[in-house]
Amino acid sequence: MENLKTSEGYQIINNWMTTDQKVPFEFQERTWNYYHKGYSGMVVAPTGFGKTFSVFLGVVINYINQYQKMQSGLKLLWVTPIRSLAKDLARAMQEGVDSIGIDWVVEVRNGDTDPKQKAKQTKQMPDVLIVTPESLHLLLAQKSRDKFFKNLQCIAVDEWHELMGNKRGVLVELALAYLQNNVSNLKIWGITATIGNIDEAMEVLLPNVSKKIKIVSKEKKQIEIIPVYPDKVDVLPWAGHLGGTLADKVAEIISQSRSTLVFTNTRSQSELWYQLLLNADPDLAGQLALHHGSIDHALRQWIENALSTGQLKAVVCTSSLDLGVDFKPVDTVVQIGSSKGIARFLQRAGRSGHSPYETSKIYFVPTHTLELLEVAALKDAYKNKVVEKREPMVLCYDVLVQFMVTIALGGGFKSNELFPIIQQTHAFQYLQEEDWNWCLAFITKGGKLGENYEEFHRVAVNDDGVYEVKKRRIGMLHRLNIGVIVSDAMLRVKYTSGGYIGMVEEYFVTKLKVGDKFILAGRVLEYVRMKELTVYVRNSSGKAITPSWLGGRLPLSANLSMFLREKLSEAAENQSKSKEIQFLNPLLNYQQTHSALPLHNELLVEQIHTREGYHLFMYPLEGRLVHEVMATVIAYRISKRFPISFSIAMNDYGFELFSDQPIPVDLEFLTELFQLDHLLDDVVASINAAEMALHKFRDIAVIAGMVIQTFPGKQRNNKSLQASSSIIFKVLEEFEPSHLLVRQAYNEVFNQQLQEVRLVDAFKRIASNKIVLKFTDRYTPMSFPIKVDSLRQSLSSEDLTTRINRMIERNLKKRKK
Amino acid sequence: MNLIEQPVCFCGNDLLLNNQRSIYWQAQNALIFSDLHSGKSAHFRKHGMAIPSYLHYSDLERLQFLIQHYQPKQIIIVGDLIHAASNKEVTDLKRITSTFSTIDFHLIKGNHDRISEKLIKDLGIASVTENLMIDTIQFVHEPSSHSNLPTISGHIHPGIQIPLLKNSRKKLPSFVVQPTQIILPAFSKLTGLDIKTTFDEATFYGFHEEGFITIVPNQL
Repeated sequence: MENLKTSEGYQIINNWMTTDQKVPFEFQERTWNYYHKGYSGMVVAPTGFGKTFSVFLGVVINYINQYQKMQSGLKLLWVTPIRSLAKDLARAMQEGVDSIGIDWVVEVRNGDTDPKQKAKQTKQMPDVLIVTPESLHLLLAQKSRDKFFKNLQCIAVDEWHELMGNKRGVLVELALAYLQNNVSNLKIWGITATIGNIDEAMEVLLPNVSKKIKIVSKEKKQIEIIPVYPDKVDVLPWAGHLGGTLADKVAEIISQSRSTLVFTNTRSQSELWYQLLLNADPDLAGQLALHHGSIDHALRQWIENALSTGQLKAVVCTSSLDLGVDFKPVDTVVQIGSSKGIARFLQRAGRSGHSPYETSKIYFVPTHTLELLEVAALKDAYKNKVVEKREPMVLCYDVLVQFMVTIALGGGFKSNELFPIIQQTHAFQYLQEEDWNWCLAFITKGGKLGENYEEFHRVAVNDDGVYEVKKRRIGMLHRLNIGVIVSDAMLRVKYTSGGYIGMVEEYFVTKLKVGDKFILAGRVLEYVRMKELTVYVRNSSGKAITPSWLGGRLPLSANLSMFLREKLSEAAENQSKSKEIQFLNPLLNYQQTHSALPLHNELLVEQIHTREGYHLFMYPLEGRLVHEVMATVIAYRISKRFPISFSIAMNDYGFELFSDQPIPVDLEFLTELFQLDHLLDDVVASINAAEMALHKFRDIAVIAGMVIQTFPGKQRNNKSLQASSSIIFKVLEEFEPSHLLVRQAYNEVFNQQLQEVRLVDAFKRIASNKIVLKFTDRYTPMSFPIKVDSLRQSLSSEDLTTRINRMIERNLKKRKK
Repeated sequence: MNLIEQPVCFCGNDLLLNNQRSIYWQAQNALIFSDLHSGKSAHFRKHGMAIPSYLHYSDLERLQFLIQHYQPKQIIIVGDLIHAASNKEVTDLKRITSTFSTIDFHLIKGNHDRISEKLIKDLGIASVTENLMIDTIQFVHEPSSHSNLPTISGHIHPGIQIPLLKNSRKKLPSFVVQPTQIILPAFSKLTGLDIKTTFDEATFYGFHEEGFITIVPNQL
């Protein structure tokens, strides 16, 4: 084969870049070279360094070189997780090919695309099509699918790190496996930011490609991490307390920057900070905006445009702006509170200072003083180039059955042909034939026991053994509901006079009474009434509650917690030179005097007796999810020896067991409590796994098509098709406990909710640690934030009826008082 | 089946609520229930959702049990007997009406009962009306807040919510008893619960397999 550098394609691209006074990055040239040699692969490079043009120009060069052999139709399929990026990407690519001088058409196809445009594409595909994983599956659900992909050369999967680790990644895996088997000589390229398991990420994307290469850019994004110090150190820190005093400092940072993104962790926190900043600097009014997932789509769009054009001084946002288009004017990023993970922090930092050699600046604003430790930990992690892994999901039967119906819809499949294709994916490499047959039964007759599923005909098998969707209505409902993003039960919020404001969770509204005030989109609103999934409000003022949105609380990542433990240990040994730790000295000294600072091979346990009762604090520093389960297990293990009831509280650093009776623990008993033996049995015995599984099942039922989320238009009889996933779950659990989707719900609970792997690792680590037990009569700097955190759960093993009766008794007692 | 009864006095009539989702009215020898929504799971399946029939069978079994236990002369169904279109699950009702052919079945039409009256009568339901008056008690499907007549209704599938732990609540189906109105829980287990609607001067009789829980909201 011809050498890349002497090829016509390379010459043309090189000339084109030279006229633009650009020099390709080394990793870009390497990508072109390997693409030229027919490789698939994965490009790893930080944002802003032209990742897109590594793969894209590789395809262009190859096209120019083999111009004679190429036929019309789709050549490059570009998969991106973010819809908002697609338009800009298409524009950049189109400008590129236009000025290079190739007559390619680049188009977008996703949920925002005009139906007319889609129909045109269906007749004649453009040369480059930019899709989301969902719209790719929709293409596969079309009868003419094989025609679309006939001349496809390459599929590029952009931002693969965002897809792997959730079910959208599984969608991509399935679509790739299908296309690889139906299009000859197809090349697949992944593009990703740095994650902890790059090699695995490539294996998941390209499980059965032998000619593959990993290309890692040598360029590194420079990041400067600047902590915002409070004026004085509180010895007893508590979450949320610092906000007000630091708002002035943040307002100052904003006024000194061109344009600032203020990242918060939850939607309620962003609402709060929007108010705080306006109070701190009233001049910001009109130049400060609020951006989060519950704000009206059109308004968000407007904010994003205003950011790009530099009309806004600052935007308070949540992870809603983690990804997406680069806002050129943004030169400063502020992170409020813990970012919970290293990758997330660096991603956010990267949203400022985009051009390759600019330094990204990020300010860290602690919500309580102890969080300053995290700055020191983050700096270390950045220096040591450690980032979190993304764990790929496996055996998502819900996604599989959806995909099977998709393929059945777009022209059908034969079982013995599709099964080996599915097994080629990473997600389903261990799919058992028995389970595959269950899935076939599920889509054709509802389940293994067909007699309980009469009249169920989603997919039918014809005489040739081809599985097909025959009914138009089933096909239509399926197309409308393709995808794995399940939205919560959200209600629209509107003014009584008309005008849409945003969304709140149904569960929040059920707690509201007429006349109650709450904050949304930075406005104080008064609840007037609710009608047909719409909450009507009017403008108001004064004190109001901030809605809490469920699921907003991420746990501290395993990598970051490791660095935190190191930092605490350094502080304990007085070896730390880091400024943050020196600043925290008064607090750390107080901790050391009244209790202890744990070394990296120690577990600190504090027993505190106060007027309220008896507290047992433990600090494994493993993140709140692990602590939640750990606390429940420890409480259960204690209560097995002594009849005692606890309430439980936790944060990312540790947890508390609280009781009105003395908790009789000593070192020996503590060691026993952290034993690995029977750990999972005790987990199962102490948590309400059924309820957690029910929660997971909600999404699974929607993805698998057991509950329909979107109906076409306004059809009269939709009401009679509204099913509740909780009823279905309870029925299946009782009558069909081996149902694959029920089993999947439990697996998801153990893998995600309980973080089984991390939990076991934590117990192992603690088993090898020295336990340090301290008695004190007052709260310590480490215990206080947990105490203030109000999340509580009481553990009790009594049966339902007595529990209920006790509740009522207690209610009656309160009334007498 | 664990049948537990809760007597109430309603406008001078002694009624027996039970935890199997129905009322027995001794004076009239009548069994009263509402919202069976028969054919619901089959209707879902017809539209591509794989929801099994288990609850359909358990609902019918419970109905059969109640009939055998109380031996009523008449059965009053306060609406929503049939979820949507007629299907095989709906015609299963015929088995019950023919087994107990001496019983008079009355249906008060609910918003869901949209199939033709002839089809309903074919199932063995003798009378189909918009409302029904027996002695001093009126039966209508949808509860109203204006009626002065003693009324028994269904429609809303009332329920109560009991806090168990800090972050978990248990929902239970319930009867709502007001001075001149009773709202029945849904007879079918394949139904959701309305725990939001509030009622004046109401007592909620929530129930589970082992008994009743009485809640008077104003007292709590």
